[in-house]
Amino acid sequence: MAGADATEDERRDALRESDVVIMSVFAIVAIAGLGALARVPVLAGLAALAGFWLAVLLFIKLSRAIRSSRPDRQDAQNEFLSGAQFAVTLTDALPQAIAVLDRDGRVIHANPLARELVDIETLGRPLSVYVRDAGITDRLARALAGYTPEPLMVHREVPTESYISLLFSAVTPVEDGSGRTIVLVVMNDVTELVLGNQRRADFLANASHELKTPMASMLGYIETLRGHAKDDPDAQERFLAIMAQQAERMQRLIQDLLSLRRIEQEEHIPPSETADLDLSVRAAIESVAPLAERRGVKLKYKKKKRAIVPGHQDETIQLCLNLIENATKLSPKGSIVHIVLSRFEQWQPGIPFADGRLPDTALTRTINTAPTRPLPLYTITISDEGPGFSRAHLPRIGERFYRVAGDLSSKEKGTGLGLAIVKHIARRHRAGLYVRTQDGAGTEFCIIYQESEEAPSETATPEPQSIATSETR
Amino acid sequence: MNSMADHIVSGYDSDLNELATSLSDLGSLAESMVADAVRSLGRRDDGLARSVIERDVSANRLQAKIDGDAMRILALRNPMATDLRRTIGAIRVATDLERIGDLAEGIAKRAINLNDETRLDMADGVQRMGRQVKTQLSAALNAFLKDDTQAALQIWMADRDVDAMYNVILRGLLNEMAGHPNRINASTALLFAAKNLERIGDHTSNVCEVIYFTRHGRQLIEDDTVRPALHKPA
Repeated sequence: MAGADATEDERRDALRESDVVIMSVFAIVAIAGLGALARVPVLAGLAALAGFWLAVLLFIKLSRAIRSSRPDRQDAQNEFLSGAQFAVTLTDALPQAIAVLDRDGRVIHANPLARELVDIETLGRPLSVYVRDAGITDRLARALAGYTPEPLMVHREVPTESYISLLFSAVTPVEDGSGRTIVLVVMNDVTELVLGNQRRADFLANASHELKTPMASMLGYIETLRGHAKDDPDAQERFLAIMAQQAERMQRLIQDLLSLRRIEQEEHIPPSETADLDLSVRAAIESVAPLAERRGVKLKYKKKKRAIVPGHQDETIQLCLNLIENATKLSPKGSIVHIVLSRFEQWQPGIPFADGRLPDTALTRTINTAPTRPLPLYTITISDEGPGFSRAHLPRIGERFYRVAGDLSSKEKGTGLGLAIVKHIARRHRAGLYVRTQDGAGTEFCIIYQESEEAPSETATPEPQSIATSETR
Repeated sequence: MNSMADHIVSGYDSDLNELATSLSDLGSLAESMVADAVRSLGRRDDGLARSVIERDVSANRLQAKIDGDAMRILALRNPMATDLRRTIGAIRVATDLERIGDLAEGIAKRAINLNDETRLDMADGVQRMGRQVKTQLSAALNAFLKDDTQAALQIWMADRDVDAMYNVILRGLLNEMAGHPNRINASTALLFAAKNLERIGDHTSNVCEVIYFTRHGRQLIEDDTVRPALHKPA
């Protein structure tokens, strides 16, 4: 841009210099002519006229040169404002996702927000490659024909459910002169607008439905305490204990519902911070330890130092906590829950359950697929030696309020939301989630995280890590 | 991605790009047909089901257009290597997507029949399976348009989940029919819908195989990393 400006200025200067040269040649010829003709009065008059004419010419030329030297600055400024680079800088700085398409619908520029919103990697490919909707072709044609098409709402399901509204408007840059038309696409993430109401309604319905039963039984106990158990201290003690348990369960349920709602709300926004998986697993194990001790279950953790992944630290802790707690609850007395954290250089079909302990005949289900960018991966595999579950349950694992284990005491009975929370955290973190079970042999969960892109600069010693990886393989 | 490097003849590029755009259009049409067919099953919505049946015409038309365009590229541009595989892949994917459209139409027809019958509990299972199939189809189309072979492999392997779901539904419906002869009509219609969903899953796997073949020039099943993972039963 700056270079182009300089050459332009130089060319103008060169023009002015040539003018001056031509004018001085004229002047010299005129003066010589005057000298030669001065002897004849008529010719002297003519020469004076010629001299005058030359002077006028000189004045016009000079004044033009002076005038053109000022607008020069303005031209440069206009050029700066209309230059392609300026437009690019401007779109990149806008707090709004914008893509620029050419006549054929190819993306010729996308600002960082747009790149992030619809995952644009390479320029020059059609917009339909990144956003799929049968309406795009039509809107593009209408915009190019000079109309302002109404916004297009695109529903996306991968990686998470989201809605994007697209606004098309065609522009013909004037200064260019080629008459080329470009199309601006303004993109807005309207997921919260579309799904928010639905989710609020779901939340209320879930909360009221799930609280109805324990509330009714609480009322029953209160009635009894007021009625014929009024003077029976033994019964009072017993009933109050049951009521306390029920109330605790209701409290847990409300907490779970609230955190599920919070995670769901943010699900379409990938996390910007990083979390350490090793830290998360250790924190989770610490909080499950008392329960494990009570049940006589051992927790064994094979760790890997520093596993930095994109994610929210508290959420990764909750994810590990829910899975380890589930495993502990389902484990028979004296059994072991194995937790393994590993690192892999790249994704391969065999990575889920590479650290698994179940035989290959176990039933597997992919709940979320793993991210596929070319980065190293971390897997957490949590295996229990519990009863496992049958084929019919497998498709419904992770559904809210779906319970496989029916015979747990009410004290340890979960809210039915634990795995739903795990599923949604994994989705928000763009992590893979797999489950595998064998009737009578146990259940395994595997979570696959992609290493954070910022991680390599943080890890001071990459070499021992790669050695450790090859050992685990 | 990078394999879409510019060609010297810019018309060639725009031909290939137009092919991608048409495929994206057909893909989103097939997606919306599957989603609406499943939705019409759950909501008992005749109107939605009819709109799915109507859309099949445009799916067929788009497939014919893609076939023609691909044929023209083959004839006029003599594509080589990746471009050749991409063009052939376009024809194959278009065929699969058109079949998916037909199968979705079949589900919509069953849904209209089912709306005259009493609702069965197994319809929830079929709907769940439908959502899973739809998600997998979307993911496969994303992977296809972005040449993401790793994602394709994952989706390809997740097809066994759909098969497992189908088996559970099949057993459930057989029990239903044995126990309640008056529900045989409804159960059969649901069974056909589930079977169609399972077939859509298979066509989705085909799309994944095309993605793999386009990128690597060999079949997905021959991949060394796939084989050990495959020995796990479906």
